[in-house]
Amino acid sequence: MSFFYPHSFWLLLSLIPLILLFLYKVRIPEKTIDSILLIKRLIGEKRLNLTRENGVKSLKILLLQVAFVCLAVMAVTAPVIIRNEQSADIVLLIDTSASMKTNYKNKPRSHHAKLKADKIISTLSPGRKMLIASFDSRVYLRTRPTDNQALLSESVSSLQTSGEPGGLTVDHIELIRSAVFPNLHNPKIIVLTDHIPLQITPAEDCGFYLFSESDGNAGITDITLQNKKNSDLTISITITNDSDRTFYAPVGLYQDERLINRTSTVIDPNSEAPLIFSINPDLWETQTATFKLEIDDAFNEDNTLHVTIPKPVKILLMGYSPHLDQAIRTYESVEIVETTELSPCLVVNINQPGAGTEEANLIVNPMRGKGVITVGERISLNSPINILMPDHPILRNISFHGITIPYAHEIELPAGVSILASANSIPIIFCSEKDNSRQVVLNFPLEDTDLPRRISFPVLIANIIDWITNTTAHQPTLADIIDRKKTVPIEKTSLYAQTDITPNFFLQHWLLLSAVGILLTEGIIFYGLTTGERQ
Amino acid sequence: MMTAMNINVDFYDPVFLEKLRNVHIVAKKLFHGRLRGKRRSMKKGSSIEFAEFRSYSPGDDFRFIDWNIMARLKKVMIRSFWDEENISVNILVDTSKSMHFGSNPRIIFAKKVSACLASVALANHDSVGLGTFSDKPVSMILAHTGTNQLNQCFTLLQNIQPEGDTNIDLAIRRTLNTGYEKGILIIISDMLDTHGFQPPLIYALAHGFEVHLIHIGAHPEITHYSPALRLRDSETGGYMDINCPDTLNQLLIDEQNRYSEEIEKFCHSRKIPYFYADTETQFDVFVLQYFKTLFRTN
Repeated sequence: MSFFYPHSFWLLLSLIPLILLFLYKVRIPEKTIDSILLIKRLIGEKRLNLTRENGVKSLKILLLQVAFVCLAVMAVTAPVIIRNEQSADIVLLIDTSASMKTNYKNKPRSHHAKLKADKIISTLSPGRKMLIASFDSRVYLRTRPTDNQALLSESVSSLQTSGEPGGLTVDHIELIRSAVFPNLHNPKIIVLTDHIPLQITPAEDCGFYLFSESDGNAGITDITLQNKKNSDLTISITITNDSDRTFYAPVGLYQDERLINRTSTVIDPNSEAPLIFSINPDLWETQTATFKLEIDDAFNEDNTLHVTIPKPVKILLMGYSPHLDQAIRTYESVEIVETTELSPCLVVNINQPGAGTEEANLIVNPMRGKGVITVGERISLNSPINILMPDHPILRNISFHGITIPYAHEIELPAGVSILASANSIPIIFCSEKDNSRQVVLNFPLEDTDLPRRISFPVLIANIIDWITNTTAHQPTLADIIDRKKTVPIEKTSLYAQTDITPNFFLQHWLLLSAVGILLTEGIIFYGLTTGERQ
Repeated sequence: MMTAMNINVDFYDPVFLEKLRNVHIVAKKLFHGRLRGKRRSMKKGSSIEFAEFRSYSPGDDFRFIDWNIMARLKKVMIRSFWDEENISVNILVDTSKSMHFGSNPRIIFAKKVSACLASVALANHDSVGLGTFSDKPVSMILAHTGTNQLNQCFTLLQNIQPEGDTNIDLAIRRTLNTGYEKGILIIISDMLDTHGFQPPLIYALAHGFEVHLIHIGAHPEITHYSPALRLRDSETGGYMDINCPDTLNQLLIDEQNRYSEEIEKFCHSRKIPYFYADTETQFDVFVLQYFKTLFRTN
């Protein structure tokens, strides 16, 4: 048996005052007398009553009260009985691409993935089948569906990173579905990956765009919870694309302005694509993040599932933006030179010394030159970024945690410049506003940092575009500001199908009825006690 | 919890001595010519009370030959007389913790009565023995006559300390085994003996003692009323949890009376003089009543 709301067991602490009150009530004042011989004679002749009878009655009442509280608490915790025939089988899909060789906390990411996989395998219920699969550019089935934990663990430990680039694609999921799902019952996929796609960077239109529901052409149309029990929480989001171009949509999931997870998908024109979040906070860089989705009042009158995602969580979609050209208009001095192989994000560079002219709005890694900005010698830094103005619109939803700046140029700042971030006292990000013209400078080489591989990067670029184009006052609506309750109509049966753990309402009602019955019994006994004739 | 009460009695207090003298005077009148018969020894002796005639045997004292009989019957007959001896009065005082309990402890009354009885007995040339008892080893003074014996009795009574439980059976057996002379055995106790009071009294009678029982009662003092009450025994430390009725004190008084009647009935069946007194009774009045009752029954 499991419980939907196990934290409700804290209510059992209410038993403590109950028991203390009982002990206080049964406390008997004491009186010393010369001898209890006469008392014994009186009791022997039934002319005096022992308190034992009342003590037994009081104890009965206490036991009934304890039972009442326990049953009520059990009912509140919403007990769940997991039946084997309803339990889902699991596909454990482990990333073995080249990126998994990179270290995280002095260990390869594949090592962390294996540890996590072993942990998941150890929690496998008897009779529940699991299949191990790995992927890089292709998908490999490592085991058949089985509940043999030893076999599964052995398969996981034998996994080797292939050295091939790769990333999870919809094709992979489709392949697994077609190959495996017919053999599994109500399957769930748990993906262990570093989410660094290497191959699926779209060749065409790169840019950034904040999808808005008001745009009408793309956005989140559905949010469902796949599983509520596991710490490996999975959220599936369906994104529709009604436009006639292909979007690449990485999604960052934020909590308390911090990126805690990311995933991505490619959306074909006039189609929709599922996006699966595998919240795995123990594994990756957001180790201390506590992400939580709550279902409140899951069943109400209109058979809708209310999904409330806590306030600080935001989801940002990144895709093509026609505004980018406008934003980075440095005429002949700026051009898009490459797209990184490590990230879908765009890397812009300035390859002409003439950068920093007054016409440029966004200047990245300024070289030596004269103009508005006077650039000095290049200084080796190797230090983290220190945010000086965290509330500035440009730095909204940005995290530079773990990003190291290798070098930067000494800058002679003109008057009226706001330094947003620095590294080792060198201004790294600063902005200025003059004659309704706004300018932002990123004084470090993007390609030599880890920033473009972060979800913060497109957010930063989007913020810069907003600020430069003076749209700060009118913030583009994010794809979904999850700060509000989103109501998605859903059938009860559908919910049962999606969550293999559901409250056992019969048991819950039975517990409540029992509690009420005990309360009535207790009342009757108490009535009998208080109205009984006392000698 | 037992409260620390002053249980000392000043036996040389003028007021006490005055009461004692009054008892003496009244007792002397009662004793005059009435108790001689009771104190006659079973042995033949030299008193003035004639016992019988018997034939002369060689060695008999010539002074007791009845010459008139010899003249009439031509036989030598000897006149014999009853011998006379002092009676031994043994007083046993209960010194258990229950005797020291309450605002007016029973032990004070017991001490005064003991002292008074010992004084009267010694004044009457009887030998007096005094002992205390509980379930612990007892202090005792063997029966003796003389003025010094009274001082020793007073000293013993003044040194009484509360100790142990009431155990009359143990006390009687110990007393009889330590050489008390047969005679009157006066037991002064609250009779709150959980071991039973009948066996020791029967035991004492079987050993030839004339047993007098002085039962001291006391008014119950339970003033703490609550629906339930734990009553703890001052002697054993044991307790009983009871539902405490408002009439608990009255119930205890009734039960004490019933218990007293039960003892009296037993004593009557065994011809044991039984006297009941509570702590409010004046000791001199009680002692005189004691003697009057004794003489009336004799």
